[in-house]
Formats: sequence, structure tokens, C-alpha cells
Amino acid sequence: MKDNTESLAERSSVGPVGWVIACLWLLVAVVPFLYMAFTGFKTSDEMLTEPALSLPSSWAPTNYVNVLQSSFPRGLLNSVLVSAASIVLIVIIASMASWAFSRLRFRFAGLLMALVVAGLIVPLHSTLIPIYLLIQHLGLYDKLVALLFPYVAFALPISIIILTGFMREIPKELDESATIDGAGPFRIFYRIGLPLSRAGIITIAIFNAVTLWNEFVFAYVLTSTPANRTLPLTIWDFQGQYSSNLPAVMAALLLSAVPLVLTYMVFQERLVKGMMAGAVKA
Amino acid sequence: MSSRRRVRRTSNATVAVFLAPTFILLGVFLILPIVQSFQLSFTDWDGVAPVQQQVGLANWQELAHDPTFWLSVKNSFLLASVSLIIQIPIGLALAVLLDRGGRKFKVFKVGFFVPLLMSSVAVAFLFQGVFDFNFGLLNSLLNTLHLDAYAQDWLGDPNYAIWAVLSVVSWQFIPFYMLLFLAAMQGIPTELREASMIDGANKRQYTFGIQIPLIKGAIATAALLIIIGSLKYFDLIWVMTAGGPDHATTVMATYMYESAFKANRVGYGAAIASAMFLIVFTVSLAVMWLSRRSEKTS
Repeated sequence: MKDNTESLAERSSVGPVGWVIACLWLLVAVVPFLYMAFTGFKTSDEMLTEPALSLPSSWAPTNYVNVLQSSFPRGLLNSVLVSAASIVLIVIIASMASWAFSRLRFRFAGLLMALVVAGLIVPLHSTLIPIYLLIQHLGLYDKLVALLFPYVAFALPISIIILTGFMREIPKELDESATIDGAGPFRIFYRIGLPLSRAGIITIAIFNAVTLWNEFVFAYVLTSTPANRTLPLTIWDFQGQYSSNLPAVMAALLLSAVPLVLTYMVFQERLVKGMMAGAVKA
Repeated sequence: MSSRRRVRRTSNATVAVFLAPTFILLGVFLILPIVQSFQLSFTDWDGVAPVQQQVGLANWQELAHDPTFWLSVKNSFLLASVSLIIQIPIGLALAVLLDRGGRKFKVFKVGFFVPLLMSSVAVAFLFQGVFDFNFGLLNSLLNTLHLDAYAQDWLGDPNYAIWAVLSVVSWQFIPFYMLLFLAAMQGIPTELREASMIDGANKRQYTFGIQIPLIKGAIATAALLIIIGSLKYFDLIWVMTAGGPDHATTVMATYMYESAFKANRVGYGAAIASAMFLIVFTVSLAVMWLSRRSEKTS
């Protein structure tokens, strides 16, 4: 009986141990972030003499201004361009394939879907040398557009799997009646399939946006000059240039996190859901 | 029967239009490169010479006897197993806390999410700062707590570097699995919770008897993602330590990159890439098959 009342009373509450654990983990998650923000406001001298987590003596954003005057804005713009263009292509190509897998009846459908699933587990590093050689061969080395090919190709398997799942839920009666009315498969895809898959399309767009925004290895291998670097590589170059100036690096890191922080503040649950979308069982 | 099927089948041309872009891209950028990696692994090409000299199995024989390669394989599997042992229990514990705390814990939920807002590159540089021997956050905190004796050159000492890297990987990914588990927990019907409470279950009994067993699927998915993701890991390690010091933190992908792009041994790098493909592909298929089988039997 005691158990019973206790459980009902305490159900929505957390005991003292829970609070302690939650506070400890909050420190673990947030303190490195604070360290980054504080250090970004310090001068090099200050960093050498003061404890790491001390407040900066002045909140003058000198380092942040310096970062914004470097190639940082260019990297930001490049990242926006590459991510946006990739996402448009991913959405178009993946929704076409997903519509075929969820609706059309054709030979080898199972085999082709298995091939898509296999694409999920291909380690991209195993393809890096040949893709680098191919891009050079095509004369696309150090051009932003070169990134689109591997970005789209490697995003397709997961996007198709997510979207096929969504499209299977759309009632078949809708396109069956459209067929009877004489609409062809492309018209049905465009008029019925796409609009009804909006939620799924948004999900894969968010998921790929976060992934591509942070993408490192292809941009590292396929581009070299600051004008063609995406944001993660701008950070990489910046660190290489100012490796002895920790406050400058920390300022750059903080600024690089701002776009996602803002997105999180505006969209919250939707962003979280999109990020989780990759956790599908293949 | 068969004739009716044929009638309902979409014309091949239509299907081809829907699928062509996908399979052209997968063919050119996923499948073909794997084949080419194997081809290159039988040459001693340096990436520059006009002729790719065939050397048969020489690279593969060298690989079999290369202690650094085996160290990289060991580290990749260490990363996978330590990530499983650390990330899943902590992720579960935090998810249970957030689930129990509800709205009151909103602040914690937002705070726990912070690591997910940074790219691997940014996380890597941030923790280079945290682990810096002279000015880093960790040694500075140890100093403040009068634990100077424990201060270390965390990333510079081969004995500590791999553990420093593993802890950063955990810091980065625990919030992801926490949110995955939390989402699964919130999908449990409230009637089940209420029924268990009426039956006299306390919080602990509910968590271990109902909540965690019911999100077994999400836990299996997390395990799958951790294993596959860990074996392919590159970004954070390359940026933070480049596999060093003295290869202490090298994993398959960083060793491949180092050989092909830094040492200009493209043939040997391709052999590592191909071996990595075989290992990752086999392990992933095995894990997927196992998780499917356990799903069927339970």
C-alpha cells in the first residue's frame, strides 16, 4: 500500500538523486560551451594568465569581429548554397524513387530496394580516393559544384528509405481513382504523391540540412581555396592559420554554431524530429 | 493470374524515368568507387605517375603484417564497443530523467541538447582547447580543485589520447541517443503507465519493468547506429588528433586518409579503403541480420 501511494504521488516528480544527476550532466554538456564563449572574448595574454573558466575582463567582441572579417562569411554563404542545392536535388530524386518503390509494380523491385539499403552501409571513406580522382578528371576539383554529386548520392539511400515509408501510408484509393480518371503515372506523382508527402519531404530536408551543414570529409578532399570552402572547412583553415591564438579559434567556433542555435530556437521540436529521422531501421 | 499482374505492372520506360537518377548516382558515386578502390589496391600508384604499376597482392600482404593497420582496426572496434557501453546506458538514464521530469525539466532538455548544435569539426577544436596541457579547461579545473597531480597532456600522451577521444565522442552523441530514447518513451500509451501505477508499481518498477522493455526497438536501433557509425568514424578524430600521437588514436578511416593523401601511397590507401569496406559491410550486415532475427523471436 505504501508503494502504491508513493508511486502515485511521485510519479511526475524526480527524486534528489535524479536532480543531482541532471545538474551534473547539464554541467558536462554546457561548461565546454561556456568555456568556448568566454575564451572567445579574451585576449591572448588573458588566456595565458587567467584560469580557463574565468570571465573575460572585457566583453569587447574583438575576436568575433576579426572572424567576421576573415573568409568566414564566404564559408557561411558557400555552406548555405551547397546545402540548399543538394537538398533540392535530394528531394526531387529521392521522392521520384520513393514513389516508384511505394506505388509502381515492376520487376526486380525487391532487389533494387535491397541495393538502396546496402547503400546505407557503404563507408564513404572507401569511396574517397576514386571520387577524388573522378572529380579531378571532370575538371571540378576545388569547385563548389563538385560537392553536390557525393552529397546527393550519399544522402539518397536514407532519404529514399524514410520517404518510401511515408508514401506507403498515403491511401492507395487516391491514386487508383486518379488512374481511372485517366491520369498518367507522372501526373499522379506530381499532383497526388508529392503534395501528400509534404511531411516526409520536410523531414528528409531537415535531416539532410543538418548532416550537410556539418559535412567535413568530402569538402576537405574536394576543395582547397578559401573561396570554395564550406563552413566546417573555413573553421579548419582558420584554426590552421591561428592555431596559436586560441581565443580567435573559440570565437570562430561559437559563430559557426550560431546558425544551428537559431534554427533550434525557432523550430525546436521539428528540428529534433528531423535529426532523429535518420534513426530508421533498415 | 499472371496476365492480370502483367496488366497492372507499370511500363518499364516509366519505372526507368523514376529510378534512373537514383541508380545512376548510386552507381557512379557508391558502387563504382568501391570497385575502383579494389582495382587500385593491386597497384603501387603514388597518385601522380602516369602509369599505375600492377603489384598483385603486395599491398594486401603488407596490410596483413602492418601493425598500424591492425591497431587502427582495434581502435575502430574499441570505439564501437566503448560507445555501446557508455552511450546507451547514459542516454537511457538521461531519457528516463527527462521523461519523469516532464515540463519542469525543460531547461535540462535544452541544455542537454547543446552538443548536437555543433559540427564535429567545431567539437574537435573545442576539445583541443579543453584538453590543452597548459591552458586547457580540464587541467585548469583540476588545478582549481587542487588535483594538479592528475593533470595530463591528455591528447599528447599515447596512453590517454584514445580515452580523451572516446569521451568527446560520447559527449557529442549521448544527446542524440537520449532524444531517440525519449521519443520512444513518449510513444508509450499513457494507459499503460497508469495501469502499472494502479497495480502498485513504483517508478523504478515502471522504468525497468515496462518503459525500458517497451523501447527495446529504439535501443536496438541505437546499437545498430553506434556500431556502424563507429567503424566509419573519421571527422572528429582526424581534426582533433590526426590519429596521433604515434598512431594511438588512429582508426581505419584516418589511416586510409593518411596513407593515400598524406603519404601519397594511393595503392596502399586503396587497400586500406577496400579492407575497411569489407569489414564495415560484413559487420553491418551481421548486425542488421541479428537485430532482425531477435525482433522475430521476441
